[in-house]
Amino acid sequence: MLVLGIETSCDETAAAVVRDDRTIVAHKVLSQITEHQAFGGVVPEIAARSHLEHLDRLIAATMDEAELTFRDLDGVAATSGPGLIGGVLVGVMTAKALAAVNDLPFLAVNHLEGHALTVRLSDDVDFPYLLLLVSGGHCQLLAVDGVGRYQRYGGTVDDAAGEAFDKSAKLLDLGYPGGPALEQAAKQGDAGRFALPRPMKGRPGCDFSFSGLKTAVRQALSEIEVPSLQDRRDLAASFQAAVADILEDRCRNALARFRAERGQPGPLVVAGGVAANAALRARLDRLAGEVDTRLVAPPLKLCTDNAAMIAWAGLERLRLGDSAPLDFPARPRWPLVELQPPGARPYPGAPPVPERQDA
Amino acid sequence: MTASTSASRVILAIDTSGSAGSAALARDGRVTAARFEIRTRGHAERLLPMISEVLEEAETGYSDITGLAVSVGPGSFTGVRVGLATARAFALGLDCPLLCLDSFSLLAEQAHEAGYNRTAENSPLAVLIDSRRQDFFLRSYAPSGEPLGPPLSCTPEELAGQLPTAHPWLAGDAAARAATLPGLEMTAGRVLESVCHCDARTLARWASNPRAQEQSLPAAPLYLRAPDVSYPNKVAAK
Repeated sequence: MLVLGIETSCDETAAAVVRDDRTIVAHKVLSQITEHQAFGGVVPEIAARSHLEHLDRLIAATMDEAELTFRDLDGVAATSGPGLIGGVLVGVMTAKALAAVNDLPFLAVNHLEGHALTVRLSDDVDFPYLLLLVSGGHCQLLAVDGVGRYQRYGGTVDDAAGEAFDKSAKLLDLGYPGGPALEQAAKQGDAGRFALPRPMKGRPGCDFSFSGLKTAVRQALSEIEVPSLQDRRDLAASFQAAVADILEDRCRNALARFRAERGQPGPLVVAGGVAANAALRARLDRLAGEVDTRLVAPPLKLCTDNAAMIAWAGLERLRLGDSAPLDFPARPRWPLVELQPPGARPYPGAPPVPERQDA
Repeated sequence: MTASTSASRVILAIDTSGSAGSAALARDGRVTAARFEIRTRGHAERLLPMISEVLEEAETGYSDITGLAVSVGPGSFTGVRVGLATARAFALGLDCPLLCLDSFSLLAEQAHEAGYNRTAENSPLAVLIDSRRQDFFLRSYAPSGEPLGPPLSCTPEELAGQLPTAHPWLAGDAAARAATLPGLEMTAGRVLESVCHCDARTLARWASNPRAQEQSLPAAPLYLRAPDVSYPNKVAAK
């Protein structure tokens, strides 16, 4: 079974083909970083224009690399939300048209489900698992019981973790995109120099808050008359350490709940762009070891936005008999817990699908 | 390619650039099936089902199509992209040529088909398209169909000065609004009401004509307006 995947929900134009034996047959990502750099963030209209300009040729190149024709495929998947709607529509219309002319199923993939299922492509992880989904737009903890079966344990009450990274990097004038730039700066910084707050740490539950931390970074920076490069590196390191403490604390609570409800300690899976941060991975790895489970993190190229994860999520749904109609509406907002499983029982003894919850 | 239609030129034309969505199929220059819906939203949901209905009615399959046509705007940014993304993917999937026409020229074609220039006075035509802002998207045409100058975007105050004569005919979905502006009262009776929205039927006929090969534009949007963005203060100061 072969599925073409398309990703256009933010600032990466991507196409990939995956096979049901977990092979990534072809994988291409075109980053728009230079187009948005001058604005210090992603501009939706610029992103949408760029996706349209490049997507069809990128797909043609992907099919060439895979040495396949459209007729060899079993389905066409595209990110259909959540995301910047102008870009999402470019991918969705392209996928619908390719599906229609080749008489193939169209697979409307939830971008977050793409992240959530990536470890099944990269590491063959079985259900259930505990998922920490951390990216520029999202920060949540979920129990994953099957395709389309997510139970939300908690999430951010304000900023996403990646957003806090990006905004702090901007405050510290470390460059764009902020996450990787801050991680680099932190390597040469003293994490113990600034005592930044750890919002929510020590409280019960699995919710996050990052806006106070970001404000504390601004405050600490303003107290230095002329911040040197070393000051900024120290602040970056202190910020990253605070985020690591918060994530560790929230994951510890979630792992305890997961064990109590599902009778197994994990595994703990981390996905999304922030999962590319090595310092955070190391901390979560240690936590997993403490509670007798393991941390599974996809390779870096599958943590940031890509189309292999979209193709894979589409393939997981297709082999359970799922597909979407050609009038499927793209959704700017589409919480994971609103997804439904394609019908098959994911594993023996799986708990019932939770009722829709407020995200 | 297919034996039964080896001599036929089968064109699928689509338009979602503005305040309506349409799809049409032409066989050797004659439209055999079409759909047209007034809508400013929901193009992305309706377009593929509309095309399926057209193909079914025309008893044609995707593999019978020998050419594609799409309007490239100006109009709604999202609508223009919906049409172009779909048409470009069709062209990729079917490996057949894609012919592109701007929405001004499409409306001018429709005005010609409606016979506007058969009137005695032979006035030029001003095509006015809704920009979704205060501004008007405008392009003017001689009675012969030749464009008079490039497409442009102008404010309501600038519009009177940009029209080709004091008494042009007006077409397009912003024509009625333009005719109510101060200084343009004399155009009020000259709005071609039947030439308000782009229509894929005319696009399909245009693309069936050999001259379309030369007239066709690149398969890229005609936005006529840069994205609304501002530089952060720090960058702007540099």
